[in-house]
This record gives sequence, structure tokens and C-alpha cells, in this order.
Amino acid sequence: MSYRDETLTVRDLCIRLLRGGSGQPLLYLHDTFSSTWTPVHDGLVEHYDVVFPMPPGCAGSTGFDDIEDMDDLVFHYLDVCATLGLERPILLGTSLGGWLAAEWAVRYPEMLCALILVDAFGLRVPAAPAVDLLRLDPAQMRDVLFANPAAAVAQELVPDTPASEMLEATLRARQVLARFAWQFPDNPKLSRYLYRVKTPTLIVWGAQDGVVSTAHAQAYLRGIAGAELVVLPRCGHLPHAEQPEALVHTVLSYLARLGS
Amino acid sequence: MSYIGCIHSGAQPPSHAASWSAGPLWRQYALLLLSSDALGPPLPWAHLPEDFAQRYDSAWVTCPNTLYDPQLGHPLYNRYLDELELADQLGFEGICVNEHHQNAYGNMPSPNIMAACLARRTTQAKLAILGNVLPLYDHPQRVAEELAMLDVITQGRIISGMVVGTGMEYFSYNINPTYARERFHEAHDLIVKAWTHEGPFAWEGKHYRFRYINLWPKPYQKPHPPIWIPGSGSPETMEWVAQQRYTYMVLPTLAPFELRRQSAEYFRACCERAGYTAHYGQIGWGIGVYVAETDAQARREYEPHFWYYARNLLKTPAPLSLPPGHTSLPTMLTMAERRRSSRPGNLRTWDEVERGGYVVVGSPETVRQRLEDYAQRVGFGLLVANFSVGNVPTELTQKSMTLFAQEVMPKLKHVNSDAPVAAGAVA
Repeated sequence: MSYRDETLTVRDLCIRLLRGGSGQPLLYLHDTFSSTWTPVHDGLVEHYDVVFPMPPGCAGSTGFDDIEDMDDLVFHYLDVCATLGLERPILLGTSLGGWLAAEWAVRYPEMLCALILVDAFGLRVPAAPAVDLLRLDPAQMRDVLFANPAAAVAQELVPDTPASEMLEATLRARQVLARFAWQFPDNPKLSRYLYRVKTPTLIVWGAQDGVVSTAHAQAYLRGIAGAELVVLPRCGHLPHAEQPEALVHTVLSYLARLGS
Repeated sequence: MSYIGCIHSGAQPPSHAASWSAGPLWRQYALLLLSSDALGPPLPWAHLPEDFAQRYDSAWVTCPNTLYDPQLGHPLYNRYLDELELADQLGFEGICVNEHHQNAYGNMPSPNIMAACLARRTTQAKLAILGNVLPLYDHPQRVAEELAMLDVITQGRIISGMVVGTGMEYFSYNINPTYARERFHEAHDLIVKAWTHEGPFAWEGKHYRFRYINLWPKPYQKPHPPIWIPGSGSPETMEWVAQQRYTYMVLPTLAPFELRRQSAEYFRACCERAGYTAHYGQIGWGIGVYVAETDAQARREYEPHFWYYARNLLKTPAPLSLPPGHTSLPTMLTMAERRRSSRPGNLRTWDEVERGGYVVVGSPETVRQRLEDYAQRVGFGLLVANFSVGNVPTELTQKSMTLFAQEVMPKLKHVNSDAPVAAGAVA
């Protein structure tokens, strides 16, 4: 499927974004493990205007020094929406991007058409703490990220030794992960405000997510009134990598039922 | 090693080399580093189990503290303090302590406490604290205060090192490593200002904000204790040190001679770029040293303890030592490559250790000859010789220190008397 690789100026930052499809805007908020157009995006462009910006400071976007915390990141994406003229987007956030989407939704729920949280960071769950990803070596990281760590996609996204042309991109992505998710990828106060999310919410989780377990999905489910949870079997922290078809199917059928 | 170390404050950097030599000078033989990253850890834990390297993946951060025993720790601390006090009596001109956290590599989380222990038990040696890990602290004025206290108590024998710290410390203290450099620079600026400006004043920075900075006591030395910056070769650190006209200490954990030589050369080039020529005394250089009656005896006595150190205490998973942002991207790229090629863990034989110039071990004459050769090839004016390694018994360390002080040090006095040394001028 075709998509466009664009550069957007947001305030004084250069933001790279991938965009395809047409219709209602769906803002896809990134994790820090993959920054390419995937079959999941292909599946979504059939029905939506998919906008996939790269996070400030990596994958072609500038601004690492300007974005210091989740507040900055939320305001940054409000600016992205304003610059692009996106109105009432569907927010789909995965991993770090899921946390960002939740932080956005507790602040400005009325702006959003729907909220889709995929294996989202963000909640502090004392009984099932998130793994400290940045202390793990690549093999250990694959073990917690993937249901099948031996699969080709696991090796591809988390190689033992990044190819030299990928090394800088990998280090930049790790910096972004560290900036927002150092040691505790959560906001201990987020759960207190989940009641503010009035947006229709779908929670999608990999059954074998070893980073933020399904206990985190349950915590989001408890906090957001009317939310629905779909747990994907044979899937770890990155459904777009391990179960792209199931993820697309789950998202599209939920949105269809919403009438979006 | 007779160097005239030029101690330079940095508060009002002279604009050219001529005014440099007008600064305070003091004679420098050699600094004893019982610690730090020159080699031989700072107060290493000497009682790890035989199979430590097989059973545990790290001597840092997650190394279980069930392996620590205060009953054994008591004599160990006091033995190390005895050795540092002996250094003062033997005529070493400086004693180094440093800071690491939550590890078996070095049991010195507070170097200022060690310096305080030494303050009234030593009389001559400078106490070089190399250094406080500035970014770990939310109140840098505490560092300014403690160093000022020590400086007043010792009548100005304190040398202040300031470091970014290892990557591991950022895990142990939950400090976001993507702010390591920013916090380091801001804390440094705050501390120097606290030492040199009338208080109270307000500090409004990015990472630190205080309405009242008003140092009691102020440091004894004017304008403040000399600032020496130890590093393991990060270009950005060397560039900054050169701009500040501070002393740079080449103190990698364990590295071959050639890498250490390159670091010193790079620093000299940084000084040239900053518009002046570095003095010998502006370059410190650390290495593990062991002296015994003969070369064969020295190796026999030293080698097992070297391997205890290299195989156990340096055991650090790469993610712990290289958290994102702790060093700049270009440096991270270089280090990733360097780590692949020359990890201490890759050292297998004593022959490799000798040929690589990782340590200087031998008879007094061998040690003299090699250090003189290194000094001439590197162009350092401050030698940080580390006499302790791994679990070496104190009798051996003290014998080695004594032999060094009596038979090696006097013969090195003529080497690298302080003068400007242009980049590229050292063979």
C-alpha cells in the first residue's frame, strides 16, 4: 500500500511522518521499537487517514532536547494535530505511545473520537511492575517483548548487534525510551484520573506481554468506564509485529461497531 | 616522578600559557590512587566466592549484597585506610579516593567520608577526591559544603574531582541518564559559584533551583580547591575540561596503553583548539603498578589478584554501563565499537596484559623504565599509580608501595618537569 513520507514543521521542530489512506484521521502514536510503515498501517488505511509521526529525537524527527516529559509530548501532539488540521482523531497508541494517548485522553477527552491502547505503558501496578527494559541485553529484551523470541521479526526489531547503519537510529530510539520511561515507565498519578476518559476506549493486549503484563490491561479496564479489552493470543508487547492481522481485525471491528 | 604540577583553579582562566605558570605550583611526585578507575578498584570487596564470575552476571547494581559481610568489611576498610596513610608517610604527594555505588568493585559510596577519615591522619599529601558524581545529587551545595569543610579542616589539601560517573550509578540512583551531562555542567557551575561568590545568592537553573545559596564554610584555598576531572576518554568531557583549563586525568577502568595514550593526545589537541598549550601538569594518567624484588616475583605475587579484579569486579552487562544519553551519540558509537574489540573480559593471558600495557608490574628497575617510557610517550605530568588490585593482601601492597617510594620515585623526579607540551610533540 502506498504512503507518503513527509516532513512537518511544528513550532521549530522538524517532524517526520508517514501518512496514507483517507477518511477520518487516525493518529498512530509510536513505540520506540519500530519506526516503519507496517502491514498494520496497510490494514488501517483502507478506512482511515493514518498519520504516523516519528517521535521527537528519533527516526528522522528533531527535538530531543525540547521535549522533556509527558506534558511536553502531549502538547507537542496537540500542535501536530493543529498543524495538520486533524479534528477529532482516533488515537491509537502502542507501548510508549499508548501511555501518551492515555495522558492525552485524561486531559482532553472531548478532542478524541476514540482511544485505542495497545500494550500501553503508563500505569503503576505494584503487584505486576513493568520490566526495566533498559537494563536488558538484546536477547533478554526479545524474551520479554515477544511471545516467540526466536521469530524473525524479533531478531529484526531487536538484533543482537544492530547493523552499523542502524546503530545510530537504535541509540536515538533508546534515548527517547530512556527520557520518558527510565526505570519506571509510568505516571503514578495517571490511574487517579482515568475516570476523566469519556472517550470510547478499546484496550488491546498481547497475552504474553512480558514488559507490561495483562495486569496493566486490567488496570486500564478498571479505570476507564465502558472500555473494552481484547487479549491477543500468541502475542507479546508488540502486536503490530507479532499479530498484525489480529490487531487490524480487532481495531477495525471495534471502530465499525462505534460507527466511526 | 618529579613533576611540577600546575594546579589551576579555573575560576579565572588565564588567557595564555605565560600567565599559566604564574599560577600556584606545587611539586608532585606521584599520586597514589588506592581506588578509582586507574586499575584496581576503589576499595574492592575482597571476599567474593570462587565461582562468582560463573554465578553472577554483574558486580554492579544487581550484585546481591548477601555477598557483603560487615564483619569482613571492618578490617577491609581499615586496611585500605592504613595503606592510604602509609602513602602520606612514604612521601606520595597525593592520595586519591572516589565514588561508586551499589557494587563489589569498590566499597566507597562516599569519597568525602574517606577523605574525612584521612584528613587528620595525614599531614602532607593532597587529598584528591576524584570525584563526586555530581549528577546524582539534587543538592549540589552539599558537595560544595563537604569539600569546603574538608578544605578548611586540612588547611587547603583538597583537590576536587567532579565526574559524570559510570552508567551504573544512574541505575542505582534512578537519575535519568539523558540528563547526565546537563546536570553535571549545571551542578559544576553552581558549586564553583557557591565557592567563589558572596552569599546569599539565588540559583535559577534548569535542573537546580535554589532561592538561597550561601556557603558556610567557604573553602580554604582561593579561589577554590583545584578541580581535576577524571575521565575514561569521552571526547566531550575532554573538550570541556580543556576549555575550563582544568586538569584532565586519564583514568579508564582498565584499558591498554595505546588507548590511554590516545586520550592524553586528544586532550592536548583539545587544549590547542581552546587556544593554549597544555602543561605536563595538566595531564594526569592512571595505571596499576606493582613492585617486587624481581620481575618474576612481582608477577607471581600480583597476577592472581589481577585476575580476581579483571574477571569478577569488572563484570558489568553492557546495558548497565551504557545507559542512553550518559555519553553523546558519537561517543556511544565509538564506545560500542571499542567495547567489542577490547573488553577487559576479553583478556585471557598475562602475556596479553603485559603486551597491551594494561599494568606496570616488575622489579623497581623495570617499573622505573616502563613508567619513564610511558611518561615520555604520553606526556603526562601527574602519575596516578594504583597499588591495590583485587584481593591482594595488604602486606604485598605495602611492600610494593614502599619499594616504589624508595627505589622508583626518586629516579623519576626529572621526568616531565612542568612545561607546555604542544599536541603532537610527544613521541
